[in-house]
Order: sequence, then C-alpha cells, then structure tokens
Amino acid sequence: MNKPSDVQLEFATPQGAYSAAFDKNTSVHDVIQQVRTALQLPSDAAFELWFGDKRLEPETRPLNSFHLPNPAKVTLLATGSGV
Amino acid sequence: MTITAASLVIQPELQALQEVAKERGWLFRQETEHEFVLGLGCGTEQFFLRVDLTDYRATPAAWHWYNPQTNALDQSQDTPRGGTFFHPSGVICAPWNRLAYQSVNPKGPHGDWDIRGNWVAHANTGGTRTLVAMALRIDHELQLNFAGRLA
Repeated sequence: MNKPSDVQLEFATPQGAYSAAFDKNTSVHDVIQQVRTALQLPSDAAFELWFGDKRLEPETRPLNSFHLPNPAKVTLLATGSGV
Repeated sequence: MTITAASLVIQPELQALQEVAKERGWLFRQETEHEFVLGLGCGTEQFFLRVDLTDYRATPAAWHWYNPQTNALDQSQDTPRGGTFFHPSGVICAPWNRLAYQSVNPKGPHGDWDIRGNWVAHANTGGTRTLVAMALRIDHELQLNFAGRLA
C-alpha cells in the first residue's frame, strides 16, 4: 500500500510498462537505479527519466521538487545518438 | 502459428511494445509474424511506421515510414524531419535501423557501417536495444524535435 508521501510513477521503459511507488524524497538517480535493477536493464547502458517533454534533471533532485502529478506517466528513455 | 526460434525472440518484445502502445495511446497492429505497424501522434500530426523484423535480432529491424491509406513506404510526405535521428534522406539514422546502412538501402546515410557487425554493441546504439526503446526514441524525437514533413 502506498504511503501518503509516495509518488506513483507509471513508466514506459525499454522493457515495457512498469509501475512503482517511490517516497517523494527519492532522487531521480535512485529512481532510475531501482527501475534498472527491477527490470534487469543492461548495466552498461544509460537512461534518462522524462515527464512529457521535460527531462527530470539534475538527477540529484528529489521527485517532489518537480511537482509531478500523482500518479505520473514518465518515460525511461535509453540514450543513444542519431547521426 | 508455428513457434520458431525467431518468434520466441520477437514475441516478448512485441508484447512489451504492445503494453506501452496501449498505455501511451499509440496504434499498434501486428501484420505478420515479422511485421507490425505503429502509429504515433505529434500535435495534430500522425505518423506511421511499418517495421520489418526479418532476421531481427541478428540484424536490425527496418523502420519504414508508412502511409496506411496507400500502403506506400518511405514517401517524403509521410516522413518527418528534425533533430539528428530524422535524417534529410528520410531514414531514421541510428544503428538499430537496418535502413540506415547504405549496403542495404541506397538512401542509407552510412556507408561506413557494416550490416554484418554487432548493432547492439555499436556506440551510437547506446541503450536502445529493444523494439520498445526504439519506439520510445522515435516518439521522443517527434515530440521534441519535429520540424515538419520532408515534403
């Protein structure tokens, strides 16, 4: 059960849809790490967290500092370049 | 449907893509065992991709821009431009797109990439190693970098 201080995030990830609750003080970096672990994403790849057209950065910032809706639909975007 | 080694690899990725498509309101339609259509919105614009998974993952998938009314592939009016992924040649320029390889597609920008190489390990692939990751990247580029149609 979610605590009142939790933020529910509904992710689109490279492995599909994923949903989890995080304490509002969790940093974006830690959110990415927890999802990476839960979904066994490749350890040698980098990912960014986006809410719509806004990247959640710097990743040291906690979730509550971004004033996201609750729940929030976010995207875990794999890095890579177009050339 | 016959279960093949290829379908065992592809089906979990297609299921994951279908999940995300449903959640994001994208059109997803599997046409054959090795082909699907994806529809993405961009403001008031709609774009469609027809993706050929022949020999995927040994070789990258082929991400064609598609017109569902005419069934035409890779026409300028159905192709977005903008950013670094939507190349002026009309090809999504990334190692995970077979069409970016000039040895496969004359319009492919990259004569320097080897289609027999390991696209997953290519530096420009980064973490974009699944069909969902590729679709998310294309959608992301449409939302952030769309600058109109090629024609």
